[in-house]
Amino acid sequence: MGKGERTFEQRLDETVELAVQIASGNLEARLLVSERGDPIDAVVAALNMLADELAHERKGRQRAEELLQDELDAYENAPALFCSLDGQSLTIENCNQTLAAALGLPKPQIIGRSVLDLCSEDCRDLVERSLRELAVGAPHEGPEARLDKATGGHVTVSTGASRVRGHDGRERLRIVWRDVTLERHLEAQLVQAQKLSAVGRLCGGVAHDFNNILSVVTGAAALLSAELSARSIETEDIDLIQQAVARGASLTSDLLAFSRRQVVKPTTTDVRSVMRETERMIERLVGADIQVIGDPQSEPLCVLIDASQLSQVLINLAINARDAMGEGGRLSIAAARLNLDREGGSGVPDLPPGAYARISVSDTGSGMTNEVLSQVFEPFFTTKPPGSGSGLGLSVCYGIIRQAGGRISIDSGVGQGTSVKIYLPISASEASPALAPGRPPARGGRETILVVEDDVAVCMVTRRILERAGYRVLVATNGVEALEVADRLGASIDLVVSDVTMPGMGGIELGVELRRQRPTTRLLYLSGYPRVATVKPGSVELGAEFLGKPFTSSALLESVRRALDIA
Amino acid sequence: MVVRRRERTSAAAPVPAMLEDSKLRMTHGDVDGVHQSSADVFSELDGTVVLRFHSECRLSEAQAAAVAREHVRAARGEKRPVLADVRGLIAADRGSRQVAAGPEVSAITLRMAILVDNPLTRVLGNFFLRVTTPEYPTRIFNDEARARAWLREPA
Repeated sequence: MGKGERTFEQRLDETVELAVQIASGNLEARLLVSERGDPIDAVVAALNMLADELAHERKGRQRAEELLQDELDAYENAPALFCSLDGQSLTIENCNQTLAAALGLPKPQIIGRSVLDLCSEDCRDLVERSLRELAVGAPHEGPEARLDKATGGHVTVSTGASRVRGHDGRERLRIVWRDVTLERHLEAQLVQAQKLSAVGRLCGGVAHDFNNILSVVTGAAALLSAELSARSIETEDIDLIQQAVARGASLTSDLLAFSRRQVVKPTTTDVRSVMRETERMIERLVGADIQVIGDPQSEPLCVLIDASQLSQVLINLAINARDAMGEGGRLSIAAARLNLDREGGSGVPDLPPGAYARISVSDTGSGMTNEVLSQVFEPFFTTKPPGSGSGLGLSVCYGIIRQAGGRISIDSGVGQGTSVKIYLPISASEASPALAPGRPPARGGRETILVVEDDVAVCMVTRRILERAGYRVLVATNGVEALEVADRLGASIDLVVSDVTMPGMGGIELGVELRRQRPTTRLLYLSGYPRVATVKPGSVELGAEFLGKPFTSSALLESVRRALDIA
Repeated sequence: MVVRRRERTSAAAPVPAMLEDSKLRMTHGDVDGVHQSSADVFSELDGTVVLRFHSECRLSEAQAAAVAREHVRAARGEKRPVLADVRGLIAADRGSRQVAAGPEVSAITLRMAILVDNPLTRVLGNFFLRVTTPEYPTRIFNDEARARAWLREPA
């Protein structure tokens, strides 16, 4: 043995130490193998290679564990609700955190229960049948189910399921539920919106034509009344006619409000002041058995809406609340500012992001079934006894709020009261003074007026009212005819009173053409639709007067005078 | 743990035994011989590829990859019997064993006879055979003639 060479015992000790190191988990330990190639070298080489393999295995296991953890995280937090069941008992053996969170229950309170316990009563049979069929190998049809949340309410889910055989030979079912609650809600909202839009168009059309008829009736009645002595019996009949016209006009006004075509005067309105002004009236309306709690926000909540319409909305909602609280209760009206940073963030699906005034009107009344709730905005739908309600209250609210660019939603349940939420976009400008100055009595004049109206009866009544007030009146039944008259008479026409909607050339086109020929032409538009629905922003209507149908003779004369007096 | 170096300077590469059998002529064209830092790799006339590792060789993955490249070149795209003379090996790390059993070598190896001569090389051979488990048939021999006889057996 040469100098520095190690004895057999030393080499053996080192080899044993290498084995101990490896056995202790030190997989970096190695010994250099000598060139002798003797049995100790062979053992050392074997131990070195064993350590290589173990280190490789350890690395592989660590990688597998990381992958497993990733997959476990993906399972737990997947955007789907997972659970696995015993194929026979349908007992839940495992579930993911997403399911637990959706139901508002910790996982230990879900595992061990029958999956049917999670389902709402109305869909248990369907789910059980479907899973039993799957368990015996039938294709799974994936019924839609509703799961009960611990906090109340439901999660609507679409079901996917598969059958697997576990290592122990038992059949298991794997269920994947996808939360479609919002999807179904949005679909229902869309269907409802489409239905209301269609009904709204129908109502708007009917109301428009009806307004023309009412204009004729009220105009003719006014002319007749002026011919008769004040105390004649016929005057009383004419009053009856005017009262009937007023009721008819109120009905068409409601229909137009629903169809979002009502003549409105939107101004910047502070929701708080409307609430304050309306609260006293509501207290009188609902009676002493119902406690009214008003809670307006302290900061201004300015929105662009016709203040009288907002007031009408609050009153309509209060009347409904009163009728739902036959034995008394509590009516809360609150307003607050809401900043939405994403669409549908408030639970109202198509509400765009932005700042809103949210008005909540909640009662402790009898509430509504889902079936009733799905129809409440439809015109003439009512749950009240015959003669107690027109069925237009909520339809009008719906139309007014939509016309103001807002949204309205209702939450209700039988025995749980009703909560109506209104969202109106916050306006950048400050509120206008609430009170309008009193109107001066209408007066006539001697000017020349061109009346353009395709409805012959309306045209005739308008002409007679104006002539009776001293004006010289020319008539045309459409835009083209009006241009011909204007060509002939030139500057002697002081005012053009025109219907907006006419076949061929409409009132707006006529106005544009007349202003092109004579920029100083004065215009007054008449329409059964509101200004916002008939006149495009930036067109000739700027500086033109507008009068909604049906109009009284004094309203017509007042508008004509105002249009003529524009400098 | 403390690891002592006991490496010896590498001796000159031994002449491949079979070359002295006059079965091969050491001339260009008859034998494709390439001297590697860790092994001589050449193809014999009967198609056998010989990998003769140098003495005191501690084979790393990179060195094994270089040997494998020469092996592929010598095989010329055909599956050949391989005589792996590992009698000079002292160690072979995991990477080198994986290369030897990997797809590139497997694709050109009909069978492999591993030639050993002491307990250490026998352990290296056995570890390769039983732990790394190459796909091609592999056997360990102490005697080169018997190894060659086995390599010549019909497949």
